[in-house]
Amino acid sequence: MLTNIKTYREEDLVKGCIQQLPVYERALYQQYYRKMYGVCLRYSDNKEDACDILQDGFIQVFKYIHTFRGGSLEGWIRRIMVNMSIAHYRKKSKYFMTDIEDAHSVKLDEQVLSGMSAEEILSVIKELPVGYRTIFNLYEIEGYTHPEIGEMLNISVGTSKSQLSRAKDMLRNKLKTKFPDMGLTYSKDL
Amino acid sequence: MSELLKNKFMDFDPEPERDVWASIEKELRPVSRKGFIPVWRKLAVAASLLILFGSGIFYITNRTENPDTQIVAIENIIPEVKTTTPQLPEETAMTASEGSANAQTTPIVPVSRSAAQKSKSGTHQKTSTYIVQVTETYKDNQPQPVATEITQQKVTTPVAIVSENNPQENKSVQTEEEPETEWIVYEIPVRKKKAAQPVAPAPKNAVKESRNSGNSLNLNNLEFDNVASFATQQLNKVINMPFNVKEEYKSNHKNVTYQLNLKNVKVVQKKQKPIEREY
Repeated sequence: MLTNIKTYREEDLVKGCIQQLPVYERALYQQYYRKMYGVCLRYSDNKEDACDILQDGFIQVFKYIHTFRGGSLEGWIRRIMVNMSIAHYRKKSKYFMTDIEDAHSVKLDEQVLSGMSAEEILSVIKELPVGYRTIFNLYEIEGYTHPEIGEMLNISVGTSKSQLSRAKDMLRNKLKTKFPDMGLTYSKDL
Repeated sequence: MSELLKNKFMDFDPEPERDVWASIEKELRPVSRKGFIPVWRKLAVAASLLILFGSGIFYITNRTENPDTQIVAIENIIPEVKTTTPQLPEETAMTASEGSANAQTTPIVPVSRSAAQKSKSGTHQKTSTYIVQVTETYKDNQPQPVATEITQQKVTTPVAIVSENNPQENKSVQTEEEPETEWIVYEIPVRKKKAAQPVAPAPKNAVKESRNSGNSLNLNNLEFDNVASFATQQLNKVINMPFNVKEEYKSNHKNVTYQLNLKNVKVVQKKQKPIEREY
């Protein structure tokens, strides 16, 4: 799709994008769009939504690139993509998050997961409700803490925890259904 | 488990199904239509320019010079025979006497229109006289091509008689309500050549035979083929606008038509403009 694009250093990319130079904007997109599309896919219901989020996310990146204050450019762009995903589904669903605090620990067998490809894991994650899926992604993959998630989603820490445990529980059941040979453990511990 | 999932998705970089960059680029740099001019607008501008240019050319080619300040009319006066010996004004007479001794033409005499019309009977010297009346209007600051100036010129080479008709009456200041017409009478003496009459030896630069002897002008050293050309020449000296005396002359701009043939000068239409003038 995008070929013959020169690779630039992050600093040059940022400077070029701040000056709104098309070459640098395109280079930045070319450097990160596939990874960011993967992020968007994890948060979205389908590929079309993922494309929409990716598009809106990069527009925000170019719009606010002047606010980038160093650090990891990829991490900064990823945060924007995550926030765009959250905003996308918050608009679509009035009941994005339900405040239920009955958390319990669910542990997925790592051996089972390690034997699965990213696409297979993604296909199961996509079947989760949007709320569960979002918290699962934020906590398990992005590495946010419950307080951070609570702040991002405007929910309590307890709710974040309960949603995560429910998400894992549902994911376990789905894995069991899809892959009956897998050995899944269940634990009440968090 | 978190680390495991992170590692799984770290290298997960699928290709989007559609060209997202095209959409992003369109959003970032919407196609500007500032420089775009529709074809119909281009054509309209071209047509307007063409009309404007054509109008300008038409105006330039058809306009008359200073048409608002001078309107001329020529009246039809049939040639007549003068019998009286006209009297020259002092300045004219002096110069005329200094002019040419061989002048066989009636001396230049300022006459009024009425005087010219009265002198229809006479004997000793038959001179066909064409009287051309010119109506002129002037602006204050415009020098008038008055008869005096012309007269002085004619005295040295007496080719024409120029006089004003009642010039004193015209010196009054006119109001804008009543258009004022100033009549200047140009009397052009024409001597008919008699075939039987012996011709006196002419000076070197004098009289030539005219093809149209009945209408030729033999005035001192000058000869004119016909009255029309002579009248044209004379009128051009006092009328500050392009003036062609033809069989029929039409000026579209002022809608003034002149008609002149060998025997008369005729006004088809004359215009007058109210002005305030002061001599």
